[in-house]
Amino acid sequence: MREHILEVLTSVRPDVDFTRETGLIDDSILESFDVIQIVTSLMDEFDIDIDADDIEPENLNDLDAICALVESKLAGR
Amino acid sequence: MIKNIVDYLEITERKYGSKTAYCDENREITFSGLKESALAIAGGLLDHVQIGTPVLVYMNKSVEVIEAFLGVAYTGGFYVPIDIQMPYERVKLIIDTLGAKTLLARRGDEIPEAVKKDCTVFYIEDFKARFVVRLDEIQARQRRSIDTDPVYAIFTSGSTGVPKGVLVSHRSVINFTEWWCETFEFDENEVFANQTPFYFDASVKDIYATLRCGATMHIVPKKYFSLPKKLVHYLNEKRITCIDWVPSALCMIVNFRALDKEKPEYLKKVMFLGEVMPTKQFNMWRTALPEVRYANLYGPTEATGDCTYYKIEREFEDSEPIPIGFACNNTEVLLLDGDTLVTEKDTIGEICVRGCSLAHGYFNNPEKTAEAFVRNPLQKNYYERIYRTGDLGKYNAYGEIVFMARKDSQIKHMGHRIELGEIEAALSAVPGVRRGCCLYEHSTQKIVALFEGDRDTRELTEALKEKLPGYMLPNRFVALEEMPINLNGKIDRTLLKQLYIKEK
Repeated sequence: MREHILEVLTSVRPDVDFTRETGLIDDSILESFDVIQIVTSLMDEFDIDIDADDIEPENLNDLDAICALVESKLAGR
Repeated sequence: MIKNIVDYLEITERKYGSKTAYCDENREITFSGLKESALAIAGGLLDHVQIGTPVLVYMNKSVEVIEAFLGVAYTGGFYVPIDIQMPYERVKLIIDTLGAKTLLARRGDEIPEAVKKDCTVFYIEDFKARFVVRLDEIQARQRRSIDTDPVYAIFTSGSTGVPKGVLVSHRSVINFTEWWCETFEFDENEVFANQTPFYFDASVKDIYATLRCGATMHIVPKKYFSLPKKLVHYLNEKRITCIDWVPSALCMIVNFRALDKEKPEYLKKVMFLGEVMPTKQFNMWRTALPEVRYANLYGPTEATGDCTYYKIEREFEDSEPIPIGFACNNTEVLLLDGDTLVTEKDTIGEICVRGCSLAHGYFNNPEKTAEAFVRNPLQKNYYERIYRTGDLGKYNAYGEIVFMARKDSQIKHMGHRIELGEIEAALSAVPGVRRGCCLYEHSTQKIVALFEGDRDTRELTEALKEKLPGYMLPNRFVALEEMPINLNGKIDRTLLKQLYIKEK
């Protein structure tokens, strides 16, 4: 699943190395609309529901956090 | 009389001098403070700038940028806002097109060494610190300036790979601002939250409505546009009454149900611009905030601000497009099929504009200017210019104009206006790429690059990053054994679209 998520992230921002970055939001590596595109793509790809409460820096700062978010949403479905 | 945008500053400062004008995360400034800074900047620039010469404003979005804009306007020169994240190669193309020699910066913002070789760099902090009153000289310069002198040049994507500088006069901005403030009843109580970058002409609207009316404008920190809950909270914290944003920003708020958690309490006017607002998301806004007044605005940079507007009053089905409506006052919009006027409903024509909102043209680019700014074919008796937008539209049953599509390969991607040709030019220039073609997948909002050659995604992305801003980088690369060619010997885009683009 990690690979699948990585694929989604890379399709939005091919120039970012998501396996290395740890401050995607805090260090402003992602542009604001990138974040939205990423979240929307994750919702479509994994058929999960992510809402405004989940869109916080701590859930999106790195690949691990994003994987954890997707997993928790899949578990809660 | 009002002939220069600084006249707005002079009048408003006399009335509302101590009122807060513009705010960012770190700073706020009153109209009096703004006038003082602008005059200090003008004093510093006066010997380096003449009427009709450019000054690059190379700064992170902040209150200082507005000080710089007005400082330049006092000198009679025109400002050119540059995205500080733009790759140097593209900045260089802009500098060369303009023959620019003067650049205004802020201490603390990083400037590429190469830029310093091209231009003399001035820091606005230095001008403000050694404030020399040169009021007489500035006034003398102002007396010589006229309202058709340019106020700014905004660069947009160009299909050949070289960005085009749309050169706009004070007259056009004043004409627009008067219409805008009257139509939407702005006054000194209005509080704007600015979203659009200052290197887009959309920001002209928030900036000059504030200046004209003595209102207040907050520059929303960029990161809030990825955090819907914080964004809505921000609107309440700053008591925002009016937003004029790209649809991507408005959709994001409702798509993640941020309005269920907190409602913007002070918001009275919501406008959208720059690209098509999806009706479904619009209806979500209207259901959540039925008391708010909504308007759809349409207009290319070449026609300054908006050229049509539509105040949304009747109901819309999710599947029904929101019209772009009617021409703004003192602007006429013509739908032309070739050189023939379209008047009957449901017949498609190119949206063309007539009026003093028209830009002078593209700076130092007579060919592109002559292609888009043409003689009005309907007026045989005297010379009159119109601007052909390249957008196609039609009249619906209510007589409202509805946007249909583009004539060419220009796209709107996340609110940015992009010529796919500019990406293609950069792609084809990458060593190892034999032929390149770019398409846009509207259903997923992705730029797709197809190419012939032995390069992988990472190599291509690295190479393109040197030339293109981040928002122009393709989201998907497809390597082809051979590029399909049609009977005219051109890349067969229709076939490529069928094979590689998924549209719902």
